[in-house]
Amino acid sequence: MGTGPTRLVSCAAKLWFWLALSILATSSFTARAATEIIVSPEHAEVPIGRDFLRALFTMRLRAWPDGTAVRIFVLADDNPVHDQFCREQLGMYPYVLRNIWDRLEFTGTGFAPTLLRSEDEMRRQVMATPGAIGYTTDSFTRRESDRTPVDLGRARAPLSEGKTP
Amino acid sequence: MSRHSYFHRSRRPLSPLVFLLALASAQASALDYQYHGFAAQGYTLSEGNNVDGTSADHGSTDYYELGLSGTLSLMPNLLMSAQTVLRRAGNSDTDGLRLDYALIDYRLFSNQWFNAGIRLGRVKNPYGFYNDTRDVVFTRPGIDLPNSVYFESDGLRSVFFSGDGGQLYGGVQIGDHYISFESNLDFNSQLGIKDQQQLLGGEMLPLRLQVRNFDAERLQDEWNGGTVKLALSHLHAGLLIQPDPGVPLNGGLDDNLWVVSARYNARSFALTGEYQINFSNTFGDLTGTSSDSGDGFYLQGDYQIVPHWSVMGRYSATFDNRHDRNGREFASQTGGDRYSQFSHDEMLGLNWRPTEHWGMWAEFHIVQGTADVPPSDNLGNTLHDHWNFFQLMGAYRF
Repeated sequence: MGTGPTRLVSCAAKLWFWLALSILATSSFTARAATEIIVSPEHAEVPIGRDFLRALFTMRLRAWPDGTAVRIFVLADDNPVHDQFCREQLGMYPYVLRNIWDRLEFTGTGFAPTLLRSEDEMRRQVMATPGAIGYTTDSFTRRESDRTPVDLGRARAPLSEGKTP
Repeated sequence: MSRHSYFHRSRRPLSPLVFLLALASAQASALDYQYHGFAAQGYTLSEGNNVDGTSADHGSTDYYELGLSGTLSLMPNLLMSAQTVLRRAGNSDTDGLRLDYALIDYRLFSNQWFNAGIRLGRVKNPYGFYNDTRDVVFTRPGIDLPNSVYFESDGLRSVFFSGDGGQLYGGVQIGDHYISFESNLDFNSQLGIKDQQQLLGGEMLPLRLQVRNFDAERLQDEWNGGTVKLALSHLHAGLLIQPDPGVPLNGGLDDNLWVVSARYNARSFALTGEYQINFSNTFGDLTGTSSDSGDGFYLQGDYQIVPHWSVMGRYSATFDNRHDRNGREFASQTGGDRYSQFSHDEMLGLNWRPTEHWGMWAEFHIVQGTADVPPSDNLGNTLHDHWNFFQLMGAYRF
């Protein structure tokens, strides 16, 4: 008696349970994916602390210690990876960084960074451009490293002193 | 936003000038360039007094800005850049096409803790948070800069904005603070005839005004990656009357302005406040020697409601004489309107940035007092003491 509806409810409940669990797993996985700095291969050994990183991304520093021009690559302001990178690695908000770039751009006193559309493009451009620096998520690096293991060695570990304001 | 490196990405043909520069460059592989542009069109509808043209009753579209800029990096420590702008803001800015800046920037020292350099040419003046980007609506705190601090409608815009001369700049990282300093020194120059007319209340007088002994300095502290930003600016300018032949008129004025600026940037909101105080000494046949001091301030809050949409509220106050804030002394001594001596402007605004290229602004201002009313938009009109206006602006940048 009533097994039909009961089974249906039970099935629906199970479905919702697994759906919720998978969403939770996905979101916690996303939250755990930290951002990491990637640099062009010839500058892979340059130590990068947060002050140095801020000096680079606010365009105060135009050259690497060896004199090579710095080339900054970023994702769009509203890209979650960019937001996460700004807060984790720079301790800044994206719009504050944008204000600094706009100021340089419209006073003719510096370059705005090069805007890229995806993490994949970011990785390719940074690896191919001398003096380049950008960022990606470590989950992206892990996925990529399954295909191209050689890239893994060029990614930076997240900075220990990075913090979210 | 576009950035290219000739030797890595650009497929554009090299112009002869760029080619020569490339040859002259010690590190040719670092040759880089960037170009940007912006276009903005405004609409103003006002009740009482005119702003941005004949805006009362039917509205005005006489507010637009078009700009094109280019920056060339010959070496990492050497930049050249220039920007031309076509701008109209009612009758208070009808200068048309102009060269906003054209400069060479040489970085003398640079490491992660310290940098210093020099800029020569037509350089933007550091003053408050926004003077050096006042031409681009995307970098302003609204459609117009607050008049209380930036003198938008007084005919002083071009003098404030940029000047021919040089700038020394530098910055140092101390703990979590980035302290920067800029100091400009400009050659003497003649004030544009339209700016002069605006400054003299719309009158054409048989004289020219020379801007002299101009210098501007700004000391700024950006704390915790710019979460808190504090600045102190000073600007000095002299104006000397150069009468037409046969006109027995001598005199001028000497102005010192100070601005204290503070900003707090939170994740979804920002608070900004700036206070300006000016000290003016006039001398000459008409006024004798006298001293004057006015001030002004604004407080603004910006709040991002949802991504791409933000609201803003601002209160801005201007006082021509800080010892006579309600203008009663002025009225009793001269018989003039006391409301001409101050302005209280309350603004509510909305900003939409659908993409990185586009922006839309809408603002509604309720104003008491006429100190901020642009004189040249209201020639021959009886000014209204209580008035309001609505502004719209749409803009594109690349």
